[in-house]
Amino acid sequence: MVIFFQKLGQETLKGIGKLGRAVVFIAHALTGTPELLRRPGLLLAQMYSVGVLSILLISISGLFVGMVLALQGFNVLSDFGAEESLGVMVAASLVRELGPVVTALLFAGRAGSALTAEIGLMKATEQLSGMEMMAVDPVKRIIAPRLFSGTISMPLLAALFTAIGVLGGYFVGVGLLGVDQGPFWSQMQSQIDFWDDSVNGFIKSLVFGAVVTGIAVFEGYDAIPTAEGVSRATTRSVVYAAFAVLGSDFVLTALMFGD
Amino acid sequence: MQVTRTTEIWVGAFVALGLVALFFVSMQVSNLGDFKSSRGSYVLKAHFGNVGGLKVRAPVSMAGVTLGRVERISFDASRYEALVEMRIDPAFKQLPEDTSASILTAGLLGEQYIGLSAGGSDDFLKDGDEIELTQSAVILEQLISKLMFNKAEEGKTEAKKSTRDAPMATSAVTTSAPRPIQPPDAVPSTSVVPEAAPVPLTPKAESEVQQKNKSKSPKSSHKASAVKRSSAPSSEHHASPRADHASKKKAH
Amino acid sequence: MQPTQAPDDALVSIRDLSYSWGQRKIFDGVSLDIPRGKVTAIMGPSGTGKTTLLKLIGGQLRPERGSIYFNGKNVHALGMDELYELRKEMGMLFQSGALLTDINVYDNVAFPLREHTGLPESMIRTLVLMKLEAVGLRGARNLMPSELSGGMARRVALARAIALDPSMLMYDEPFTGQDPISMGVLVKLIHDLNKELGLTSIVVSHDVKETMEIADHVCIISAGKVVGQGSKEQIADSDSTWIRQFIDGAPDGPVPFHYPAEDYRVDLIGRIDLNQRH
Repeated sequence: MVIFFQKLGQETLKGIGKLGRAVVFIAHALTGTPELLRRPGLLLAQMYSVGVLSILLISISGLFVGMVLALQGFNVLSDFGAEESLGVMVAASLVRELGPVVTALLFAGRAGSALTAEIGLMKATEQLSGMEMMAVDPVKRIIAPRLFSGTISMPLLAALFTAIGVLGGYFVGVGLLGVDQGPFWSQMQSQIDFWDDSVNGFIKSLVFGAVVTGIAVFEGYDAIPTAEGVSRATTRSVVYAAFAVLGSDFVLTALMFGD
Repeated sequence: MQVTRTTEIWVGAFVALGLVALFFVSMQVSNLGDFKSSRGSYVLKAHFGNVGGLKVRAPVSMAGVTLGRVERISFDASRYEALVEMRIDPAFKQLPEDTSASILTAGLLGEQYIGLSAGGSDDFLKDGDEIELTQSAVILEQLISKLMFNKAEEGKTEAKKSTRDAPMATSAVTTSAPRPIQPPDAVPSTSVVPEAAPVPLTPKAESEVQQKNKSKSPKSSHKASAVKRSSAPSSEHHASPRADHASKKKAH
Repeated sequence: MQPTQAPDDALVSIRDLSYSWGQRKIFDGVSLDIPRGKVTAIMGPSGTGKTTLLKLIGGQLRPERGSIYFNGKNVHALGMDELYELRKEMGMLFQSGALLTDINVYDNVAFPLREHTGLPESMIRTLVLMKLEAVGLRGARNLMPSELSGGMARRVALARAIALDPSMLMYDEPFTGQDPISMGVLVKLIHDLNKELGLTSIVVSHDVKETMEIADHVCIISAGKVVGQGSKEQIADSDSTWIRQFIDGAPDGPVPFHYPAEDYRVDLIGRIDLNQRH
C-alpha cells in the first residue's frame, strides 16, 4: 500500500515536472517569434512539409467523410421525410465538429508524428547540440518555425476538409440520392450561422493546430536520444495529441455552443 | 536552408486553397452571404406576449423572403412582455406602418422565425419604429391543455365523468406555462380552437393578437385583448415556410 | 597539482568543478587550465565524462559546484544572449559530426555563416569553399551527409566548426572508429589548423598514440578527478603507476582488469559448498 502511494507520488511529480518543462519550452519557442518574422523563409519550408504534404490525405478523407455522412444522414432523414435537411446535417456536422476534430487527428498522425520523429532524431544525432555550439538556438531556429507553421496550416487544412466534405455530401446527396439541390443549399445556409458555427469551427481548428504541433515538437525535443526513445516519443506524441484534441474539443464545445 | 521556388509555389498554392475553402465555408455553407452589406440597415421593434423558442439571429421574413434577422430579445419590465429588435436589410425600406408581426415555426418542429405581413398604410416604418400589431408564439402545452379543457367543457353537459378532467387541465396550464416547446405549424388549430371555446380562458396562456393603442395603458390592453381578436391574422402566414424554400431555390 | 590562481596564458580555467549524472558523480572537484594557442589533450578511460566536460565548457550543461572561465568570463553566470555570443568564439566537433542531415555539405558549412553574418551569398560561397578546401573536401560540396564516410563527415564538421573563425576548437573523440588513413588525415588537420589559425584546441580522446602525437599539454582524468596534468614530456615520463598503465595500455594495474565482483571461486562453486570443504 505504501509502495502504491509512493509510485503514485513519483508519477505525479514526474507528470508535473514534464508539464513544467513543456511550458518553459513553449514559452522559449515563442521568444523566437521576432526572428521568425525577419526570416519568413524558415516558416515557408515548414509550411511545405507540414501543410502541403498533408493536402492529399486531408482532401481524400474529407471527401469520404462527407459522402458517408450524406449516405447515413439520408437513411435517417428519409424516414421522417426530411431529406431536404441533408445539406444542413452534413454541413453542421462538418463545420462544427468533424472538420476540426478529424483533421486534427489526421494531422497528428501525418504531420505530428513526423515532427516528433524528426526532432527526436535531430536530438539523437547531436544536431541540436551541434546547433547550440554554433551559437544557434535550436528552439528558436528549429522548433519555433515548426510550431507556427503547424498552427497556421491546421485551420487551412480543416477548412479544406470541411469544404471538400460538403462537396462530397453534395455529390452523394444531390447526385446519387436525388435530393433537390435548392433546399440542400438554402437550408444549409439558413441553418449554419457564420459566427456561431463557421468562426467557432475555425477557432477550434486553430487551437487544435497549436495543441497538436505543440505536443509533437515537445515530445520530440524531450525524447530520450536513442532509437527506442524516439520511437516511444513518436507514439506518445500521437496518443497525447489525440487525447488533447478530444478533451479540448469538449471544453471548447461546452464554451461555444453550451449557451 | 534555402527555400526553393517549387516550395514557394506549393506553399502559395496551399494557402490559396485553404483560403478558398474558408471562403466557401463562410459564403456558401453558412449565412454570411445573406448580408451583402449591413450598412443602411435599420432596426424595428415589436412587443410580444410570448416569444416561445425564438432565438437571436432568427430570420425575419415577409411573403417567405428573408428581410432581416432578429438582433436582440429582451424583457420589457414595464409591460411584462418581450421586446424583440429586428435588423432589416436596407433593400426593404418600404414596409407600411401598419405591418403586423407574428412568431411562426418553420416546418414541423422547425426553428421559429418572425413573419411580417404588410398592411395598407401609405407611411413607411423608419429606423427605431415599433410594429404595433403582433402575434405571440404558439406554445404547444397551452394548445393541448386548451384543447383538453374545451373537450371537457363540451363533455360536461353529456356525461358527469368528464368534469373530473377539467380541473386537471386548467392546473396543467398554470404549471406548465413557463417552459415552451416548439409548437407544430399550428395555424389550423388556432383558428379552430377559439371558435369552439365559448368560455374565456386564462389570459396569459392565450395565443393572441394584441391591438396596442398608444392611448390605452399598456397593462389594461394586455389583459383585455385576450380572446377577442385571436382568430384573425394568421391564415396568410400559412404558406410561408414552403415559400421560403422556393424563393431560396431561385437564389441559386 | 591544482593551482588556485589561473595562469595568464590560460584561455579556459576550470575551478573546483563538480557534476553528477543522476546518482553518479562524474566530476568531483576538478580544476584544470587550458593554455592559449596550444593543443591540450584530455584523456581518460571511457565513461569518465570527457564529453560531459566539453559540454560544460560550452555551457550546454550546468555544473553543481565550481566555475568555468572562458577568456575571463564565467560561462555559467552569463545570460542566454551572452552565452550564445560567447559560443561564437568556440567551435565544437562532435563525435558523430552532427551534420544537419537534410541539407548538403555546402549548406552545412554555410549554415553558421548564414545564421550569424548576413553576408551576401557570393561572399558566403567564397568562405565556404575556402573552409572546404582547408579540409580537402571542396569537391564533395554537393553530397548529402548520408553519402559521406565517417571520416569525411568529421572533416565537413570541422570545416563548419571553423567557419566562424573561433578562437577555440573542441574535438570530441575525433579518432574513434577511423581507419588509419583518415585518422592520419585528422591528426594532420588538427595540428595544421591549430598552427595556421592560431587556435586553442582541446582534444578529448583515449587514443593515446595519436593524441600524444599532436598534444602540447596533456591532462588525464579518471574517476572524477584529475590524475595527471602537464606537458607531453612530463606525462610521458611520469612515474605514477596509474598514468603508466594508461599510457602503455597495460591490461592490469591500478585499474583492475576485473570489474569489482565476488570472489571468482565462490561465484562459480557456490558459498555453501566452499564452507563445507573448509
